[in-house]
Amino acid sequence: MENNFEQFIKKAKAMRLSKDEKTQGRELISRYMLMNPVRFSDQGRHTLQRSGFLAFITKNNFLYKSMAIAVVLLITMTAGGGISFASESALPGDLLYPVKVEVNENIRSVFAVSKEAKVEWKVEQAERRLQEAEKLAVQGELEGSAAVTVETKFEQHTRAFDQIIAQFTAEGNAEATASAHSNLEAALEAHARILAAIQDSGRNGAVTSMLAKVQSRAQVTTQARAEAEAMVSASTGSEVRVAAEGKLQAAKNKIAETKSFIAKSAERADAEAIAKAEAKVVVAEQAVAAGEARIAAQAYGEAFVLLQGGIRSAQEAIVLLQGDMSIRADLNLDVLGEAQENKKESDAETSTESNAEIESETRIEGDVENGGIDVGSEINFEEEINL
Amino acid sequence: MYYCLMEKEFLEAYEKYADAIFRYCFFRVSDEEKAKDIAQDTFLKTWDYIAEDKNIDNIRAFLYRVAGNLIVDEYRKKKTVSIEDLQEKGVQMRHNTKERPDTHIEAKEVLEAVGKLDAKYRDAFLMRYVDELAVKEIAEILGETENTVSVHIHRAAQQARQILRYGE
Repeated sequence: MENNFEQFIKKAKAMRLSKDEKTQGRELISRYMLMNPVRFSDQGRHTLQRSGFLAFITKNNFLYKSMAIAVVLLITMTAGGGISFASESALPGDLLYPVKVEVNENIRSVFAVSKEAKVEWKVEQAERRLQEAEKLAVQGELEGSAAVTVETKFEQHTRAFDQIIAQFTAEGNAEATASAHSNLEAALEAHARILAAIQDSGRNGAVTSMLAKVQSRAQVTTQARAEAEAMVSASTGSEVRVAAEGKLQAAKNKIAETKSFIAKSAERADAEAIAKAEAKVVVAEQAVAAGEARIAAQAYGEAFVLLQGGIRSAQEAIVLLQGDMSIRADLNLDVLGEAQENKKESDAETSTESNAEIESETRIEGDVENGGIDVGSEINFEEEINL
Repeated sequence: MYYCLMEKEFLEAYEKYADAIFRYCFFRVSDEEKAKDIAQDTFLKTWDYIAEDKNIDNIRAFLYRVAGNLIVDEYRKKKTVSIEDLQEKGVQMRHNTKERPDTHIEAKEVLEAVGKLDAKYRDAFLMRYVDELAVKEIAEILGETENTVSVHIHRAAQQARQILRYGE
């Protein structure tokens, strides 16, 4: 009998990945690491096209395309990932942008096997397009073909999202539907605020149309989420209990993640943005406490909805804080001159609006450091966070 | 340089623990392909965490915890498919069986035995005997006291001996 036992352990130990699988896994992880480097070590956007030679190439469509193809081939051949990594901060119109969306994102898609992972990835892709739109807008470059590219791709991602949702619906998986809508909603709400802030700062171009698109989609998503949640709430039995309990854990994890992100961002973000993000976390924590109480009272459907709301609040805090930092970085980097001009306007706005609420000392420091610029717009969107 | 080092360490962690994490997933989701996906995802999610510049004291324990969470998610999605259900249907072994016919059969045997273990004790037992984790680490991963973990390991080992004596 002892022999059997040892045999069993031996056989269990023999369960392992094959050599090929491991090599493949390692390869994927290496690439993933390159695409998702440790944060705060990012050098910002690679503005290659500014130099004369590359500007010539980007203007010449044929050359541009052949160059892009060459770059793609180069990457495929060397499998080095260096350029792939560099391209991560590319924007539409940049030489490396096709690498970002055609190569990097296709590789990322490989990871998304399950429908849940796929739908999550679609949300992330939509967010990536919104981040690009924001960066372009801040630089006053969200116009022409760049704007069209971003908008079209954003729509493609949301359409793909809808297709996966349709599959969930066909399977009667209300829980997955609700979760997916909820995630998309959090992303859209936060980005709508960022875009609105950029628009308020007086930047034109296609900001308005992009914002309208995001807002209308957010509205639809909120409604769809509420409907899916109603279905989850209506279901009884152990399924909804398991769903609520799972959500509780997920919400707790999300809050922990958000807190940690806020702590890590403390140095880079300004005090006010941090305070606003923290306020969101408080809202999330309250939702979790309420959800936990509902679980204790065996009202699992209600708990699910509350907890999901908590996750959204926490997620929005992250997105807004990221937006705040990235806009700030861009402003320092690229549009300082223009920004100085805007300062007067926005200061006039902010002095009345924000001082009442926020300790003004930190504000002033922030202004000096950043050359002032869009601080006005940041305040605008941060103020809206409370709504 | 900082992050080159992290990358290197992380790849080393993959080398060392990928098999164990895969096994851990496999014994709990009973589907080889799914277990591979979850194991892969475990490493990506862990990297996401590292990429946020957060500290991980014990990467091995951390990986198990992430895998554990992902498995819970999986169950939640799938509305719980028990090992028993799968065994009735004949376990899905979709993977390249041509290449490894022995492993295929053995995996099924092992899985059957594992499926008969009390779920409450199973994890601690497998971590101790198969993955050779220290009791302390297991306690950390499962959020139990070392004492409880030791008891669980002991009980599962007894069960396993019983199953292997009468089961075959």
